Amino acid sequence: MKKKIGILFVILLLLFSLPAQALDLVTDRTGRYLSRGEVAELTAKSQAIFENHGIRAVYLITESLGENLSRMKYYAADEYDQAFGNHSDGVIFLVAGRSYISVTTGRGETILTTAVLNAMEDEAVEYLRDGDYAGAFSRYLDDLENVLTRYENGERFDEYTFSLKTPMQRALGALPVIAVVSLLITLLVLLIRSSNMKTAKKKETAFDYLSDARLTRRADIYLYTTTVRRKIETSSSSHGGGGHFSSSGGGHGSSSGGHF
Amino acid sequence: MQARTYQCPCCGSTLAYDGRSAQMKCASCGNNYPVETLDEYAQNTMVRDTPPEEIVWERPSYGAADTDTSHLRAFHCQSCGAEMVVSDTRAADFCPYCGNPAIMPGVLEGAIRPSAVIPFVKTKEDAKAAFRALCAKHKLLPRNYASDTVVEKITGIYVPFWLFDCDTEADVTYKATRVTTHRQGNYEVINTAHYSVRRGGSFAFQDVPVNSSTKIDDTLMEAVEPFETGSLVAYTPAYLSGFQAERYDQGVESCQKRAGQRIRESVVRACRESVAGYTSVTPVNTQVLMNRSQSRNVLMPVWLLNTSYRGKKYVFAMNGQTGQIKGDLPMDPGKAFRFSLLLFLILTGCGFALFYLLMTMGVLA
Repeated sequence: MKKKIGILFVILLLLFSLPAQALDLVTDRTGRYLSRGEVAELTAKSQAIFENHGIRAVYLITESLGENLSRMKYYAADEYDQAFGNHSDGVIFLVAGRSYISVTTGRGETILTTAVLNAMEDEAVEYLRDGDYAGAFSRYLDDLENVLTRYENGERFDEYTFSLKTPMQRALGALPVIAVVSLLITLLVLLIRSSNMKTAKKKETAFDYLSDARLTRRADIYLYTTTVRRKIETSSSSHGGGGHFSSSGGGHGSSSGGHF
Repeated sequence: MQARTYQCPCCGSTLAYDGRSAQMKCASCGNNYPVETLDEYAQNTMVRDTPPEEIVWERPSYGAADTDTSHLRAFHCQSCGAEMVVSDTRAADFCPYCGNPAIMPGVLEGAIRPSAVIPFVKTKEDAKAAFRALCAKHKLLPRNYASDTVVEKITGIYVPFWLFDCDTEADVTYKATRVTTHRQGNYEVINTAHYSVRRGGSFAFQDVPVNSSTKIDDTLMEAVEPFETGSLVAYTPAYLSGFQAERYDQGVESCQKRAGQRIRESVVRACRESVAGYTSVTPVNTQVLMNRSQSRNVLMPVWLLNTSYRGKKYVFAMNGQTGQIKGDLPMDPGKAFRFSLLLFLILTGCGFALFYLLMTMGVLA
């Protein structure tokens, strides 16, 4: 009997201890950045995206894991795989200390290219810098929904370039610049047409009346040479890259990640 | 004094110089007369036909007393007898009453008589067609600017020029550099070789023209150059018939400065163009000596059209020998605004569509 009670106690202990380490859709393991209300609100929003689009969006906030983004990448992938399985379609946005990274899996990897993830992170990180961790993921979810909707409408995303705005939105955003350039071209054309209407100009020379020309003196004397040596600057890139990788759980995609 | 006209020995109608046939032509009976023959004939006729009483009205000269008044002179049209009042520099004109061409006696005689003239080759019809063609190119002209009423005002005028001949000796020195660059390890090595360059020679100019009438714009006259002075012929008043003509009112001294400027600039440029193969060339000393300069007074043919638009004067000119056209044309502000607005809308629309297309195709990030 005592043995049975002991086993039951261990099982109960395990059951009660699991939620502390378990990964939900929104998890703040530091307990400092998200209130319960915010967790509930973000969870509901993420859940709605999952129901509508079949992509699970997970937000995990932890203490710092160091500056190594590659380590964070594997950590995030393992966390996601353990919680939802490595065949689950989704994305996890990990914020660890002052670093962040996004890791995708399944269909999430197909849809959310590195460029897409980077663009979504760029928007969210503005909120993180202001300490608004809830706002960051809320924006992340908004952008994710936008991207998923565009994907479902047939748009496919490039691995290297992407904008969260639609081509029409971007074109409208560029309209003032296009208008200014058009105005400058118009003024230039008007100026040229106006100057073409004034053709009377003084003659600077009298070559038309040159009857004889003899160049009799021609001397080119070398004097000296000056030398200047200039060091050639070489530029090197220290950017990290995203892309496909494999963790213990299976294949994943990721953003480039970064620090804020 | 009677204004002089050339009358047809056959029918008595007024003759006009015809550039195409290079003869005096009668519009009534169609006869053509060589200028030399007609000139002799006309002189003889005038001597016999001049009524004695008109000699009383003749003024012996146009000295200070004349010019001090209003620069005007009166002539009697030989055709209708009306009195014509013209500027004292006007050598040929048309009678405002009967429209007959008239040559003012005495205006181009004596010391100011031109040594030569280039007769009109381009006719009034040529000038009108050229002006219309020029206007057709410019869509922003005021409406009806090239209407018949305007174009009919095109006037052929003999403009007085001084022609200058000049031999020059040039001697110019320059500082020049030649820059070469090569790579040496992680360094770019720039070598600049410095040179002292000298160019010199002799240049001869013949018949450099300078407008010698203050009534006609210098810029416009230079713009319609060049005149082919090989076509100059000895002056005789017969060439003026059917055209307006001015006598010079600027002496050699005031015009030779302009000729000198153009000749010097030509020599300087000719020397500079012979300095090639350098990265930079800077003139140090420029010496241009002008020797053996000569000048002569001639008349050049120009078609002129004076118009005004919104209170501003616009002058169009065509070289009566070569057909070279120059001048200023007015722009209709309303047309300019509509054109600009349309162009702006088209450019903005096309720019927006292109931008959107490139975005959609993924060409623009």
